[in-house]
Amino acid sequence: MSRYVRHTRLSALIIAIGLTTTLAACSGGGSDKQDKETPPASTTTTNTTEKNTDASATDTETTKPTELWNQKFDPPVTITTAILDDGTSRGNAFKPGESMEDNANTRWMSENMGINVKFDFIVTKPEDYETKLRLLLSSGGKLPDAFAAGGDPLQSLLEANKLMPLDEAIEKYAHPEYKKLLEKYGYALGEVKKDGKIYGLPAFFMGDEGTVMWIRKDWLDSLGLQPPATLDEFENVLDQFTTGDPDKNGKNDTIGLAVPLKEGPWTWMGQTDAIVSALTDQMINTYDVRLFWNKGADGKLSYGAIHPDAKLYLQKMRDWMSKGYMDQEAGIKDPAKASELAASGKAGIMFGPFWMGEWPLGDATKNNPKADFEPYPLPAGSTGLVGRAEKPLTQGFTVFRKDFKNIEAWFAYFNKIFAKKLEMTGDPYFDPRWKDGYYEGYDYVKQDGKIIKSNYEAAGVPADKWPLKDGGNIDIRYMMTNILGNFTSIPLSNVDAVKKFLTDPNAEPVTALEFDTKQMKKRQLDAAGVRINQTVTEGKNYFTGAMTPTMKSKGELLKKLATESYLKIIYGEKPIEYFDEFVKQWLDNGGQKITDEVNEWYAKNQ
Amino acid sequence: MRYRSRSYTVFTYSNTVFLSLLSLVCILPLIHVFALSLSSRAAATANIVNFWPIGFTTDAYVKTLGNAAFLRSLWIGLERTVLGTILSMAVVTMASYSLSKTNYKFPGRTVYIWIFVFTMLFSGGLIPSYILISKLHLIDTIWALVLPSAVSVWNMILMLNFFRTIPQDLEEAAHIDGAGHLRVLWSVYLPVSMPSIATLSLFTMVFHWNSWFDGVIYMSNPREYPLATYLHSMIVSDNLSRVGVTLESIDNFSNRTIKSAQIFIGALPILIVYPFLQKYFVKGIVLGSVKS
Amino acid sequence: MAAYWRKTWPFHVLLWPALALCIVFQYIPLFGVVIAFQDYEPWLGIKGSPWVGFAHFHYLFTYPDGKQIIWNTLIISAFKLVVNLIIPIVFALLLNEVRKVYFKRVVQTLVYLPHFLSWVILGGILIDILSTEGGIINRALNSFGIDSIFFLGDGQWFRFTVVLSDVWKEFGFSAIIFLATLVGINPALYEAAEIDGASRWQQVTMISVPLIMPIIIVVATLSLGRILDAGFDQILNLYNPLVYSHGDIIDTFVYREGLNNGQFSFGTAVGLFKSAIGFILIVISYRMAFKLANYRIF
Repeated sequence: MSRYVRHTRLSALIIAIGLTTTLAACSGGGSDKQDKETPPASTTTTNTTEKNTDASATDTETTKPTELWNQKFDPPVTITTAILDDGTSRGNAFKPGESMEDNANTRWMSENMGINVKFDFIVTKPEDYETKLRLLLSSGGKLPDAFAAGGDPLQSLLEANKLMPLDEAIEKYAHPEYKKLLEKYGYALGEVKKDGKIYGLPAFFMGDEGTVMWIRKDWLDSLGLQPPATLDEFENVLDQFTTGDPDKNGKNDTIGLAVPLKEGPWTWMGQTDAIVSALTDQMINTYDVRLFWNKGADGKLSYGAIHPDAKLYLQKMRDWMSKGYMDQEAGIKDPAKASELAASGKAGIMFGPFWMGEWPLGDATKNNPKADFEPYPLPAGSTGLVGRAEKPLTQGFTVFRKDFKNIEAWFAYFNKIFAKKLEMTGDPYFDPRWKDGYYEGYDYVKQDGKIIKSNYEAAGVPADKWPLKDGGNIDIRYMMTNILGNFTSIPLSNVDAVKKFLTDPNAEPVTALEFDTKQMKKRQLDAAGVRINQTVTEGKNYFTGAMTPTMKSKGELLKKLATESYLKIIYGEKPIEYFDEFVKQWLDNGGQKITDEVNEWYAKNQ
Repeated sequence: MRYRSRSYTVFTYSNTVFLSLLSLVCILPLIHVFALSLSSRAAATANIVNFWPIGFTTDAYVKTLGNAAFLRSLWIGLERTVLGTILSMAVVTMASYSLSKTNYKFPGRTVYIWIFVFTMLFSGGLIPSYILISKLHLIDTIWALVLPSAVSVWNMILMLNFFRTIPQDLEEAAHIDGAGHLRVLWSVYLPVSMPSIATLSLFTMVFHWNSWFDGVIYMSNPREYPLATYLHSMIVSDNLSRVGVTLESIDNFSNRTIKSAQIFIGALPILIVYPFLQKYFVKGIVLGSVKS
Repeated sequence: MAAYWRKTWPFHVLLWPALALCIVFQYIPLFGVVIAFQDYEPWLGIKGSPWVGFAHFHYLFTYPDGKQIIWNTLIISAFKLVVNLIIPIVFALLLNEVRKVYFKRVVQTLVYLPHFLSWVILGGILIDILSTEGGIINRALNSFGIDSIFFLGDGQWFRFTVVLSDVWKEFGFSAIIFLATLVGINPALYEAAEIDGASRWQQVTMISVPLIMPIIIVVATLSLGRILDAGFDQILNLYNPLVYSHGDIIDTFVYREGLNNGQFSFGTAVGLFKSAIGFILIVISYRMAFKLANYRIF
């Protein structure tokens, strides 16, 4: 045993030295050569953690078992990855002279954790990422050790058996709180489950983007209206905003609702899920055949857009369109284009996430100081129904090359970041060196014993200590994401922080999360509060698996059919009865088969 | 000029008016985009900018130009354009010379031309091209950007058609003086073909300057992007339906001012070059004068 | 044979650099088209991916919307081809009549600018100027007593808008080639015609047009090769569910399919089909020009 250890240590040392020179020599250069030289390093990792049960644990040289937060890999390991870095162009992701490949964090990891990071490729756009991944594999290149994947490439990787099953590693290395999260949101793992094993770690979202209703308060006031609590009241406000000249300019130039219909009822801004929810317990989307699959009383899943209740929604929208409550050109507009109406003072209502308080609705105030979009709770239907759609809590997965040997090192870094996000007292994974923030002079500055994380100039920090020359914040996420593949949040973790600052806007932030929350603009914070305080049923998508075969072959056709039919009905080009014909077409053209497949999946994965 | 009939005078005036209007129609959207690039984000979000900036700011330009990566990719873009244009024009001109000969003079030209024309329509596509470039170890080199497109068949066909219009007696006179084909190409064909060479060079330049996709594919690090690719990478995808939005990323959504600014930054070098090339096709070198 | 080489070797040598580049960078990757007949998976490679014969072609033609999409493509593209040829020629001829060099240059520079705008930007601008709610075009129509037209939301008008906006964007750039040809015409020809008493109009029809005819034919023939490209970027940025039935084209369809499936094979198959049609059309026009007018287009 000891002979083995000595031998591996020696060879690892040699490789480590060789490695550092190669790294220095061809950082950012071609990848082929290096790949051939590096793999042995991973097989020879020894380390100093107490958790380890193999050879290294008996190694007498690792005298004191260190804390979980202080794992250091000696000899150092190299982890290859690929990353989507849309921060490059933003100018606030790195300090001048630093880059994704060489920055405070990569140096710190190398020095303190013994982890060297090498990027097989860096791209700036999501679509480029997928293309690059496919090309890399097509040309027979090696997969990165740890990387983000989702959708079709992920399924191909799974089918081709290229990924590492993670159950054992999660059990052995993952942060206990993260394990709990995985359990709690286990339904989100549908895409990465194969033969009962987990092949990818989901990237969790904050999940705080649920719809709120934004209304021009100044318009309500000028017309003497109350914020609408029911759909009928809402309709009245629409009418008044459209016909009552709310901006008092003597011209009939305003409408009620700014809404994008190019992509159907559900989209990322300006969506009308709240209208749907006030009329039915179904949730509807036409633009993606994976969303929304609702659960019926019989326990079966059905596609929301073909449910008879959708007619109620269509009837309403059609009515509003014909009365001019909505933008007559909504059908050709995407969310950003639709929001122009709200920002320019032509429309008085728009639905969407809390962050709209800054962009685009905050811009309305900048153009016209009187314009005041305020967030309100969603209106209830005549039967008391009120709700919104649930935003997906995960996006994409981090997966690992099948022969990746250093998953422990990966988890050492992941747990550290996760613990930092969690900020739980007494967490053995919490790195005290990151107590105040990640790196001084990057995401925080110490001034007179105080931690300052933003508005450096206002806080009296001398210019030479500002992280960036312009006094702005460094967006540290890019630097820290590194080998993680995706940004990670803990779902719904900011509720308390939001409440804290709603009660006292001047409260001192303590945790990192509170620092982040305090960055919110007042309108955003108010909106977050409105959402949190209105507990409503959130329409859930019960189908979280990979695309079924028929979805792949017929999904586009059905999406086109649904979006087109919906719009034609709303525009009055087709009578409301056309809905039944559409449903028949939808089912006949593969929809029935998809429904069967989805239910088959659901029966298996419930 | 001597044609002075009355109807021609009427024509000249109406022609001038018509062309002025046409130019106006073409320039107005650009003025709009330019005004937008100098406006505040709020004005752009509300889409209230017409032809004059609202909330004047040069932020968009500062943000684009102030990035260290910008200068680097500008340089790579220029390098690529100059290298690519010279290479392509050299190869194409030589080939076109041969192909402009009649079948009688150069039997076999038809075989060559069809070999070239075929590639104009059929290509292997992304994957095999990528595999080829990586097997040739050209990934992350400028050659990956200039070699695959060097043989522009479209330019070749236009060029050979231009060459065909050159009077044969010019060439024969040169041959009688003992000049070889290379010499004829250089000192007879090229001087009289300046309008066409300028035109095709312009096309090639514009092509290289605007190409962005190959930069994404063949460069594994954004640091090596040519300008077009860099500018393209600055536009954040609008499709956010499945993507979670964070506070930090909101600033990047409404980057219409930046999109607008980059159009001008991107087009500027070509616009500067244009007038220099233009003199060749507004006032071409006249064949007759060379002849005498 | 030896005599042939002795006579023609310089021609061959001058062609070789182009030929070599062409073979390496065009012909070698051509083996990749075989994936049109496979279900290509990157991790399996061309050798390992399963063969599916003509399944992808079959899919395109039996797709419920397939016929409509191909028809849309053809009709939009055909209109574009004709208009994109005529307008630049007419413009070049008109500009050629301008005697003031300065004016000529300014006009030429201005009309060439829209070429540099991308459709992402133009899409937004077009929605604004074509808006039924106060867009400049509809306001103008209204002042003539014409009802507003929903240019981007009405199928027929959508096609019209697509063709017209494409011409607007490209005519200045396309005209360069004709202008370059026109300035190459020997002024002695015009002078001679003038002495013979030809009017300016006659000079244009008898001298200018015939002399740029070869270039017109070349440009027309080569555009025929792209008959199934109706302008992907443009349509992608302008179309919407209201005009799917009139505006969805092959390329946008392939793009949407690809988003779901990342199907390299399907895309390649469709590309191959488009190329084959284009190639056949080019061959036909080449042969016709040779047969009827004894003229070799290239």
